[in-house]
Amino acid sequence: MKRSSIEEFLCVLPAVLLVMVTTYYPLADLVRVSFTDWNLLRKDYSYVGLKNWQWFLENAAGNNFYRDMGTTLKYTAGSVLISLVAGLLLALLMSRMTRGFGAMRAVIFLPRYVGMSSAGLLFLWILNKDYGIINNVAEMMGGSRLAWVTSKGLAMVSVLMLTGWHSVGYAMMIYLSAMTGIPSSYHEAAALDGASRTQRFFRITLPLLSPTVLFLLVTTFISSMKVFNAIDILTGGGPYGSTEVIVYLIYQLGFVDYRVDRAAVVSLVFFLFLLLVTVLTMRWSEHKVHYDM
Amino acid sequence: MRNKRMAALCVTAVMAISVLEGCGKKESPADTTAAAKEGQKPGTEAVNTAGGSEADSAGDLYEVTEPVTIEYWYNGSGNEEFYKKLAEDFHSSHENITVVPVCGADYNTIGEKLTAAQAAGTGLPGLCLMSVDRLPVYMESGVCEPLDGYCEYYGVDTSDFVDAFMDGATYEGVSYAFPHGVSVATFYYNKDELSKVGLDKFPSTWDEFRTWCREVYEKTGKTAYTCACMQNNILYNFAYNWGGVLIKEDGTTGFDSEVLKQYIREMKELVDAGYVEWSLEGVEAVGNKFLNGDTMCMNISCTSYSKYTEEDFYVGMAWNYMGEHNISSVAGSCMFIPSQLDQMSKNAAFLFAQYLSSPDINFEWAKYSSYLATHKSTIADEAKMEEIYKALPEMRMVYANSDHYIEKIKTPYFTKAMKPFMEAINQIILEDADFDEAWNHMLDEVNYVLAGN
Repeated sequence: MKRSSIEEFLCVLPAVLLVMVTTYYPLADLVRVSFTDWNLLRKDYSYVGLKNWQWFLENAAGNNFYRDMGTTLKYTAGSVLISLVAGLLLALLMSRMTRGFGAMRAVIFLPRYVGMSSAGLLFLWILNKDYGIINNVAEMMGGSRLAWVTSKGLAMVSVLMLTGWHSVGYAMMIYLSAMTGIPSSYHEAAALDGASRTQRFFRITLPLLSPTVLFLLVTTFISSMKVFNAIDILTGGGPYGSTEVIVYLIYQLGFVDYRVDRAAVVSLVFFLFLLLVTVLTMRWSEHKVHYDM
Repeated sequence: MRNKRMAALCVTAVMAISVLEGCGKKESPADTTAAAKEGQKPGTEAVNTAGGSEADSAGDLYEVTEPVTIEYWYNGSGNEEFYKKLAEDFHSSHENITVVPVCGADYNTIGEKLTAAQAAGTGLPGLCLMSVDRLPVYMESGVCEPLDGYCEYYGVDTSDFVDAFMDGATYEGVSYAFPHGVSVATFYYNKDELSKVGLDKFPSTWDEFRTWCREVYEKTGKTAYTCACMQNNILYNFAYNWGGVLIKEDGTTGFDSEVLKQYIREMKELVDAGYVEWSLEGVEAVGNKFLNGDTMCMNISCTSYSKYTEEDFYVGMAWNYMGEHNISSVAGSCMFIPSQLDQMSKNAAFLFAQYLSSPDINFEWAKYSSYLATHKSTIADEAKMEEIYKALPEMRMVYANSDHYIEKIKTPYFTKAMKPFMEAINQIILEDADFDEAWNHMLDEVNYVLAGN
């Protein structure tokens, strides 16, 4: 091996080791734990073969796996839509590079810096049925008070409001940075040829933003599928399990039932699902995303 | 361009207002238990579990012969000063032992941290306060240190604890904990407001209660009663009093009681009429509603009473559960020592637990907090009880009903099995779910949990 190759290898080795220790080792251990009967409270455990996987296949419905998977996908669809669409609209709205617009962009991005736990508490107050500002405004305008967090139909909407509020500024900034990379000559040439604003948006801006859309789609999809904090604080998975997502189910299995062995099985199934969807999305994007300027 | 600027300003204003909404509020009506989750996680200071060494002779097995520092994990903000002073007083009489009180947001948070520490085998507290609902799992799994040997060595008389309280701290005849923050759920009502309309005599039967709710609503225009229906303790009491038991002798659920079903139907009528609010909100939110005068009555833990003695109106308390049994199950917490600790730390923790649960300290605690006094000798001492009643007048009623305290059924599946039960009742009452369908589904789910799934 060349000396330069060895040096390069040694340079990346710490990072590789870090990833191995913090990501791949826990993953491999999760596979091992799924073959044990480890109750988190007990010190001893034994290997039980495929017993936990059999439990999963036979009891997935009884343990609400399918219901929670559906809820997770529903939430993810909403969250991705908010990030991609609202983020883009905000980016278009805030695209002027003046001081005033810069300040406004900062305000919209600000919630990103608020911890999700604090943001959750803030929204518990905002959405409170009796004292919340949203219901107060609705009542002033002749509407009725809604049980945002505690009604089956609105609880998920409340969670989406919280996470959308928290993350939309980030999507806006990503879009804005991509938009500034589009040469203005493209727009000028199209305008000279008589293209309208709408035509320029759909024929120039949007196609050239497709790598950004893909990036946001994949990252928002994965982070939304793993949502936990917002739901734990705002709804606790309720009412009637209507906001119970997969990570919440894993948490319940591990820290309420203490069945970390079963939690490991559900985690691995979930991991495989995420991996599959991500691979399929990347494959699909190869034909749909334009990287050329 | 002007439109764009206006639209941008509007969006910015909404985002700014929503951020600022969280500022400047002294108190949120939202569940402040959740509020505590953010800011008051237990400290992560390392516990000196390696400081002690195994005593090698039977004689000093339970003695503390070297300096030891232990943490005491407890639940509930507002008691920091109380515990800090106790820890200091204890240290002055036990120089070798330093106790660091660590406040946890709630039992879930403490439970999570304890579970992680238990699995890791490090970072455990010396003494941990835990809810009686969760304790059976810990006792059954060997997390808790058996205390009988310590009690014998130090001459602690556990028979002086109220039986229903000590029952919650024992498992298969072995004592694993001491009762500490013990409570029962009771009714609270707005005596001043109700006396204005001549309805301040709290009803004593279910029929009277239904009539009373209607009259309160008609005369005050306010909700007569708000039920914090996400509290498993409250619904467990209701179920029990109306003939429904969580587990029958054959191990299946006994919730399938016709009396209970009839009671739920009648409760739904009250809710549909607007007299009663069946609230999915947390206890703190319901408490705020009561204090704001939006509801005239609620039933929650008696421990809230100590906070209500200085309200603008007189808060009355009432016992009656209007069912067949008239009981209230014992809730609250017990303190235990993790069995994984080294012997010296366990000895130190036991001495602190003994101090904390001693009749004198517990009496001060009961007077200060409106948790129940846990010792029979204290309850039998009229002078001491009068002192408690002087500070907390309505607690007289709670102690007068001590014959109606019962131990909550001891099963590791309590919380998990109560969940489908609560969901079914809430769906029937709030979502107009088909009664039989929801009820039968609930019975299947509870039995599925009780079967160990």
